This record gives sequence, C-alpha cells and structure tokens, in this order.
Amino acid sequence: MPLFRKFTAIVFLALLAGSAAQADNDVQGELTIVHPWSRATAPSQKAGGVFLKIQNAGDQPDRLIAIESEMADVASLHTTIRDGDVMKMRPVKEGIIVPAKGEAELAPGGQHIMLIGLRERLVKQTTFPLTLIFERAGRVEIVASVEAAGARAPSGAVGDHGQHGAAAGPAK
Amino acid sequence: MKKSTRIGILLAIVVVAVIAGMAQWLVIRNDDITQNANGLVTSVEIGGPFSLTDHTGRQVTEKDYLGNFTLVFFGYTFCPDICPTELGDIALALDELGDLSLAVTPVMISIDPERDTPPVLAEYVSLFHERLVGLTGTAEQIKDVADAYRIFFRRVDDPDYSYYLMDHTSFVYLLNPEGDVVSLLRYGTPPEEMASLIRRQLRS
Ligand SMILES: [Cu+2]
Repeated sequence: MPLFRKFTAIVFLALLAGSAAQADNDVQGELTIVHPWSRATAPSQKAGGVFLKIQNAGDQPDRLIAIESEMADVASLHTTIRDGDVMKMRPVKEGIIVPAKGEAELAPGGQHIMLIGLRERLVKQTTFPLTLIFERAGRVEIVASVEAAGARAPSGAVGDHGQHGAAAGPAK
Repeated sequence: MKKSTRIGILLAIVVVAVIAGMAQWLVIRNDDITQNANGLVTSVEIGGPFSLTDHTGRQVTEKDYLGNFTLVFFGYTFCPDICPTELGDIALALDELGDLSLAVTPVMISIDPERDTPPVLAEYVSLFHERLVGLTGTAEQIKDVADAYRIFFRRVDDPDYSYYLMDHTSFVYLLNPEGDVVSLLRYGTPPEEMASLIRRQLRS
C-alpha cells in the first residue's frame, strides 16, 4: 500500500533526522519552542490539542514533521479550516514549515497538535512531555502546560521552555 | 483523453456539484445574513421544536428553555480546537454580564451523539460553565434539530486511524425568552462583543 510506504519513509526520515540532530546541537539550538500548552479535558474526552510557537533563529528553514507522545494513541499535526461558517479539521500531511529567521504558530482556530485517543485525562495546572520531530533539528523534547478547558492562550510561563520567550502572542 | 474518460469526468463533476448543492440547501448562505442593531440576522427561518436528552439524562424539548434567553452552540466533545474555544468565549461573555447572565442559558447541542452520551456531556459541560447545558439525542433527533437550525455536520473518517472527526457549522444562536432566534454569532466573535449584544437584547 503506497500510503503505508510513504508513512514508513517519513518515520525513517524522522529517525534519520533525529540521529543527525544529536550530533548537531547547533541546528537544534536555533529553534525555540515558546509556551507549549494544552487544555484540560474531561475523563471521557479522548482528544486534546497542543498549541505553541516555534521560533527559528537559523538561516535555514525547518519543518515540523511528526510528534511523539506517550499521552495518546496518535499524535498528529492538524489544521482547522474555515469553509464559510463550517469548521473542518484536517491532518497536515506535509508538516509545518518554520521559515529561516521566522516563526510558526500553532494556535486555536488554526494549526495544532492533535492528541487522539488520550490515555489519561489532561488536568489543569499539570504538565506533560511530548517530542517534536523536525526535518533538520531532529527531536526536540518539550513540556506542555495544561490550561483551563476553554483557554484561548497560555496563562504564563509554566512549561520549562517558557523562559525562552515572552508570552506567546494572543490567539488571533 | 479518451471520450469515455471525458464523459466520466464530466459526470463526476455533475454528481459532486449536485451533492454540494444539496448540502448548501441545508445551511445558511452568506448572502442570507445581514447585520442590524441586534447583530447578525438572517431571513432564513431558523429554529423550532426539538426533543432531546440533557446531560443529566432528562428528556427535554424547546419548551424547557422558554422564559430565559438561550445561547445555542452545536459542537462535539471530541473536538479539541473550535468547540472549547467557542465554549470558553461563551463562558467569558457570561462572566462579563455578571448578574445579568442569569437571564441567559448556555446550551451546547452535540452533533456527535454516538460518542456524546449524557454522562460524557455531563463531565464536559462542567469544565466550561456551571450552568452550561449539554444536549444529545438519537441520530434522528440530532438530525432534526440540526436541520431546524440549518446546521451542517458530517462525520469524517481518517483511513490512518479508527477515530473520526466532525465537520460542523460553528454559529452560536441567541434565542429570546419566546424561543425565537434573534441573532447569530459567528465563530471568533470576541466575548465582549457577545456580551454587549446580549445586553442590548436584554434591554429591548
Ligand atoms: Cu485536530
């Protein structure tokens, strides 16, 4: 099945990128993950979103290609599409580009990391780890903070990467 | 290109267009919506009777909500982005209204009754507002109420995993104490704007 082969190729590339990144700390050092955060869920709610901002200080664009998390059966990149007044959520198959000397934002109403099949409830004021996998920078371990269920933006620097930047911009 | 292929493609386009047209018939189109002092209104007839089950398991109809203003949102609990954002905004708007907010009942009607049973809704609604009502029902009851409110919804399966998502219209409706839809709010309406719109309706 070509889809499966493609998936395997992506995983392989991700692993390759991961091992390369360990040898090349500079590349990884150029990315800053600002305020990764999520929203509290109810016990029977099996999906959650993670939002964050990625700043790239480097001269090369990078691309967020995959997510790993122990929190859920599946962690994937999603985007919300507004089609008139109908809202649709779709996987982002091509990953999320972080331009050179630029940034990418994952915020409510747009791109997000979708945790599908949550294995445990996301409790407000706790944190959980996840791994972002970039094409160039490889694996970046982060800690996301859990905000109120209806939060629009992170409340403050709770995650351990928060100190790298000022408060994430308000969700537009 | 072979002639038969060309005819096939043409046919496919026609079929897709007809299906899209049928879906459009059910929803409120942009040119149906106008703005007046009460916010966005539409000439399309919206609302009507319904029969559903609330998050405590009680059988309810539209009559149970008469006498108070109602804010109605259609969503589902498996949605991690749009629905929590909208419900969070509704809660903020009610907070902003202070005591006046007691004249408004916030309601979320699930367009995913398969997953959103009353116990699931009960856990979910309490995360957003202590008075938020969750409504669900049989597939048929949900289809009826969604049609009455011109809400488009569709299940979307992803071949990569066994979970499904829902596409859905994201309007929030404001109903007066008589149960008439007096305004529609689009996704992204700031909570302060929601609050001032409700305040105006409460005064009129
Ligand atoms: Cu999503």
